[in-house]
Amino acid sequence: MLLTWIHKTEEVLAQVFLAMTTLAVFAGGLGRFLGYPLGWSMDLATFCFAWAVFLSADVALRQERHVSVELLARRLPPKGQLGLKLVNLGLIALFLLALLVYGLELAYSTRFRTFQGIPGLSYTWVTLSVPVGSLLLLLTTFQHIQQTYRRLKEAP
Amino acid sequence: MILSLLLFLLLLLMGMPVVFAIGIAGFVFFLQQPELQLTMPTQLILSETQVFTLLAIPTFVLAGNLMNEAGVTQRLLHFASVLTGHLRGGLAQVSVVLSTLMGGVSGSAIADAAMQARILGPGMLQRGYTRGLVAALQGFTGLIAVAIPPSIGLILYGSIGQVSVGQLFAGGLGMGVVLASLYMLVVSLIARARGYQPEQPRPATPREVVLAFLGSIWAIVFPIVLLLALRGGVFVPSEVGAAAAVYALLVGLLIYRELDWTKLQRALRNTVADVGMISFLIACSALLSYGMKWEMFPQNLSAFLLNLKLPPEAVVALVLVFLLLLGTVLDSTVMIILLTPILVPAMKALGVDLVHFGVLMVMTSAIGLLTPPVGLSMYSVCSILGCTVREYIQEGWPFFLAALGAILLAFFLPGVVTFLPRLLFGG
Repeated sequence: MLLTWIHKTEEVLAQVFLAMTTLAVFAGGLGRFLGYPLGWSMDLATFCFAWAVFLSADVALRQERHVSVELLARRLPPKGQLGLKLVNLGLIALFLLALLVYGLELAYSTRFRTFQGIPGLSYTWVTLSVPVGSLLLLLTTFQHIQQTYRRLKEAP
Repeated sequence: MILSLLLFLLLLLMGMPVVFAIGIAGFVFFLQQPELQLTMPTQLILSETQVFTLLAIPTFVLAGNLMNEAGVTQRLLHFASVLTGHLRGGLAQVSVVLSTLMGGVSGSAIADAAMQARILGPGMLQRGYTRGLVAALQGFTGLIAVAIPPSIGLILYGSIGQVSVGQLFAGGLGMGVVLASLYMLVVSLIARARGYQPEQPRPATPREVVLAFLGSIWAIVFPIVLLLALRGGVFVPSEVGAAAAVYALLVGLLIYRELDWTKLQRALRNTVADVGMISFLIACSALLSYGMKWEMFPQNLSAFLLNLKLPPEAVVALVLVFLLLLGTVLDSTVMIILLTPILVPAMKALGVDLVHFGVLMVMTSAIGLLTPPVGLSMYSVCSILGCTVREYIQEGWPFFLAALGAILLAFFLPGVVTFLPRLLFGG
């Protein structure tokens, strides 16, 4: 229930950030062309894009859009395939956990840094996108672990 | 670093998604270097999203998806069938021309192949074309989208290797035309041998051609407008991409009037999934790329290639053969992201034209999307059309030869690629 809500919010936010990235880049180009350079457009665009990337990474993960090479794994018996998948998912979870922890550390350490174009906005608002994205990816990975484990137990 | 690369290969073979295999292997590199802080990988991953030039990827992907939802596809299909429907093997020729026209809207070989397999596949099967042939045709014509601007592969190469994206786009256009012509030749030979019939009994009248052209003019002029916008040098590729998205929005809302809220949302949803895949891959690749730079891979490769004392053309040929082989297992996007920072400095040192090399490199890597054992375009067309990889290979080899032929032609006659960039951008 909560998870459904999180996923819905995540997807809508990713769309909004993506649209805002595009509009900010467009506004910046147009402004410069018309002789009114906008100081904030580049910063706003990259700020939105950071969030767009790490939120949509999880959307892509849930839709299984991240490509993999299933050349050898497919030759294994069904049970072996599921076991190997669990190993993979475990390693991925460890990696995401590291990104989460060090991402939080990074976010804390950048709290006094502000944007050039948008003074007053702490850089932490950008760095937070990495731990938040990692957390979402981690949740999805746990779900995948659960599903794979269940299938492994049911497999003959 | 060797450990990281071996780990990357091992994880890849274990069937782990490439993006995580790269991320984990890269992270392990940082674990091995006690002098590097562990917040650095996070910082590197984040910094890739803060590169303004790389914003060309999401903006162009959004523009393409918007164009698609705006009703451009049906209009281009109509124009393509008016142009080539009277030729032998009508629908097959229409596929080639449609890919060429759609290449100016979408920048991805896989998306183009999958879309056309869905739209044109069933009709072709009904008319007696074999499954393998249809799958191979739709898969291989997708390569044209990689050549014709806007091309995601060329944007990646240009922004990572700091080569003018405008010139690469112009170079890709020549490549795309050659590729399309060779495909049309192959189709006409096959159609003659097997007696595939034309769709229309007679060529369209000039009036019909002009009407169909005007109906889809907003999509057809799109790549040309892009080139002109980049040529002025006033706008950078990211801005042109954003403007293209706004243009697609306006065409869909005001001119074709087919874009509504549902379609707009679908375009955004597809873009989120595409961007989540490509940009997260770019972000995680920063770890492995950093490791390779730390261990001076680019310098070492340059020194190695210079020491071969071969003419630059021979080195380029060697690199292309290597890319072709690597592409059979590795995804082309991954190859471009990881290898551009290593190869571009070496090519620069050898005095190779970086626009010419870029187009060749991106096209050669993209062929791997269509070759077994691992080829994403191949998988997707085979699954959509329900054919086996064996059928696909049996019927697809002439298209593979045509694609190789196009690359060889561009290799031996650099003018195919470099003519238009020189004309438009000088130098």
